[in-house]
Amino acid sequence: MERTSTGVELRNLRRTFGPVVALDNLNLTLQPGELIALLGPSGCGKTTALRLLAGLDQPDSGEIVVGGKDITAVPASKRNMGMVFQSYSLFPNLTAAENVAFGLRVRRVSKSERLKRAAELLELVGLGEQRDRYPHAMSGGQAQRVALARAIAVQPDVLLLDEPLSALDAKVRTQLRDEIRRLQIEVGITTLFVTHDQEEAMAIADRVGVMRAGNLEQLDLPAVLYARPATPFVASFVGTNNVLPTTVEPNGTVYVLGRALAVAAGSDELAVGQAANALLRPESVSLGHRDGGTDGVAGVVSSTSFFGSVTRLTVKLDAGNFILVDMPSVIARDFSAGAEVLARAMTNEVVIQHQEAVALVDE
Amino acid sequence: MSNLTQSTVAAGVRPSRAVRRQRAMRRARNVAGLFPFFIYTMIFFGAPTVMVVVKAFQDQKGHWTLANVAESIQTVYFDSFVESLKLSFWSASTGTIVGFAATYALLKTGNAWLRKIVQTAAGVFANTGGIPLAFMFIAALGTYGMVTQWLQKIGIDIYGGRWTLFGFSGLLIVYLYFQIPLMVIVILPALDAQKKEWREAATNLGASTRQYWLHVGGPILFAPVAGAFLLLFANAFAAYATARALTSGTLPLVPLQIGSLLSGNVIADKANLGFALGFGMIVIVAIAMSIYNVTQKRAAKWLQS
Amino acid sequence: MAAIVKRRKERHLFAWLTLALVALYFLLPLVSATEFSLRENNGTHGLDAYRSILQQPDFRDVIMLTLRLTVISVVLSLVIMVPTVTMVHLGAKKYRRLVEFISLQPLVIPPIVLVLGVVNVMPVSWLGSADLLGFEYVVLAMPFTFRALDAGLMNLDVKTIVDAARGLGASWLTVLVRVVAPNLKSGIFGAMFLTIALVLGEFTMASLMLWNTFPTWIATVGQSDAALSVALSVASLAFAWVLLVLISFADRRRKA
Repeated sequence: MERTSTGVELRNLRRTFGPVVALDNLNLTLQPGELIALLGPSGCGKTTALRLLAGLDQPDSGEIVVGGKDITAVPASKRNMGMVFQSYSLFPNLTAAENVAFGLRVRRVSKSERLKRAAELLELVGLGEQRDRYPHAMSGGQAQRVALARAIAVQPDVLLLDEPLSALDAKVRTQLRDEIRRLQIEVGITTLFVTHDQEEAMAIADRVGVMRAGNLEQLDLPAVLYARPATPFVASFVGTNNVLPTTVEPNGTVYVLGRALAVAAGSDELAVGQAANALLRPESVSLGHRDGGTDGVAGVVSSTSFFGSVTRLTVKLDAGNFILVDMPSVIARDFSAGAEVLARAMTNEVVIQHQEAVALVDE
Repeated sequence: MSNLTQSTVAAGVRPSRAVRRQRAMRRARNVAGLFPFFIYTMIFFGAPTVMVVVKAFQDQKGHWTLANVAESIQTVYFDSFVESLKLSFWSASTGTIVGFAATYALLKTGNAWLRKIVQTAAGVFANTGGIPLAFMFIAALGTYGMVTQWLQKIGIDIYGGRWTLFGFSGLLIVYLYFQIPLMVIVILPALDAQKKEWREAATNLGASTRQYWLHVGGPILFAPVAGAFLLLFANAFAAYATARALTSGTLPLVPLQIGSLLSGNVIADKANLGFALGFGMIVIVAIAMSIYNVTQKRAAKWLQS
Repeated sequence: MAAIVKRRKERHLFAWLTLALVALYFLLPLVSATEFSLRENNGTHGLDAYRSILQQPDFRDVIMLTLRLTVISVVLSLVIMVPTVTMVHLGAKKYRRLVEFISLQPLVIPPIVLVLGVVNVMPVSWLGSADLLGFEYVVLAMPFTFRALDAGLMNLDVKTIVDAARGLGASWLTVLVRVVAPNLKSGIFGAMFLTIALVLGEFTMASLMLWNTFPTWIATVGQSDAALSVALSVASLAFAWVLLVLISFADRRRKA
């Protein structure tokens, strides 16, 4: 199945539904063979972008270029793209093998040839035994595997995944996620993956694009996105944050958990003396015992959650607010619930944002 | 004793004799609770039905014979079966097509308000039958009907030729008044269950509209539509009142034949012929309904996922 | 792109056109019947036909008989079906399929066949009483009463509720009246309305068992006075439709 991969370019895409602007002005380039995940809250326009690329919806303006050719006016059925939907997309009247072979059937591939290909592909997604099953007799995870096999059966230029894992339960979800990634690399297919689950996006993608209200806020490698968010929205949407109130000092720094920290790039522009929220990652907080005498803000450990190598502690600060602290489990053993601690920021810079901006995170 | 303890016992060791006896009593009481229903249906439904079937195979003196059944599928009675089947077939197929088109159009408009109205109206019209329906159409398309007079004014005399409301095609038009709504009621859930993802997935995989309907949409809808057709068929086949009021017995339909045999409008020695005709009706409706059940089961399986 | 939008609109228009034509087919007979029933001898329109309904000599008898049959069928339907359906949702779950099967059989046996059997199998003394007709209406209504009640109980976990009530020391009768009945309310109303609508429209069995109920009376009247019989038809349809619309609202509330 070796073949040259195709690049994709979305240029100035705009799509409105009445007064609602689903996509404002989207520019996005996928390198050949690359997997980009579009991440964002519901209604941010990520699914609209995917549907425009698939041709299931038409943009108000802008161009879609695949492999150097403008395909904006090409109907969906002629675009040669494979798509996996969130759920319900298998044809209920066809068996697994017939579903996988469907794209080949409408391309008039001979019956023996297409059934052979279907069998291979089902083998590839680990469902070789299930080829004669009907969708109603399959589990959610199996159905999505078949849908995936069906999408790549036509050797599409681009693979489109529209929240393919969100209807599955946690364990199947991570399993299938890793399998999709393995398969994508194996086939070398350019892929756009849409999800609202940041962990999923980070785990699967070469690059992750965070969208908000029809705009792409930042497109970067997962690690960069996490470490150097370009906007406060990205900072608050990606990863877990402690939101700590603070004030901008005359020298431009902010005091967070007993330390003066530089304001990171991508923060909101705030004047000296203005109240702000600092977004501090749980792993950027260190704890010490109060009798140990180190400086920091006093608090009491209220609970601990064990996540294998990492343990997450909830600390109630004396001021009354709670913060989360992640630390290696080996160290966390020293801090059981009720321990009196001093919390300290363990970073040199921090993202700050307008205090009222926090509300946007949960929309 | 609560169910909780009972099931705990059941999951572990073999229940004690006391528990088993108690369960047996409970079971007996439950079945006893159903006795009134069984007895009632046996007297007022089972007995008459069995009577029809048995007498269909007996002569007037109670001897077993196939003569009644043989005669019921001959001459004028055979004609009445043909006529009934024809009327049922045409009213069911027209009802299926028009009802399907109307439902499809309804969903195409995507108007929730209209949908509510149509659903309620369909429920109401599907239950409209019998005598009032007949008179309603007499008022519309009868010799002095309003629509007839309107058409006369613009120069169309529908009674100018041989057409009459009181014949086969007239009855067909009237039957559609309850057949179309029934189709809407039956097919709406099936059309609702069509997932837009199927269509989009097919398009995405390169299928044309025609190919989608040929390979996916058509096969999926076949079972529900065939089922609906059979239901409409049985519905028309069993109808008596409307036909009786409109045709006054001039059209030879099986229910009308049974009616006139029952009213004693025929020679006495043919009394048991009515039972044979009744038996024939049961057989035909039962066949239609059994196939209907099969189609429903298949449709349910496909459409649930 | 403009072409796509245009095509979408055309398809929309076609859908509305289809619905309008179908609506016309359903409304024309209604309008016609109303107009017809208002016709008077001198070529004008008025309420003569409706006024004359009350003056018909048979009117009182017909209404009394129809009411009597309605009451019998409704009461008997509920008395038999409510405990039965409750039972199959409680202890006798495995009998649900059987009870459902039997309840739906009247859809397979046409009324014309059933009445053929009834007049031949029932003792002459029973046939002499109109009440037998009411008993048979219970059978004809069974598919509808079963479904309405079954759907009412399907939505809630009857077993848990009943066990809870029993656990609190309630007797079986209390459970039935206080716990099951309220939960069955919409199902009971649905079953009642459908039974009433059925009795008010049933012609086949009534006419062949020679009872003069409302529908058979309309047919008889129709042989001499067309306007009157159409007026009666309009009146009975209007009444039945009000009942059926009420059912559909009750249904919707249940689903909500």
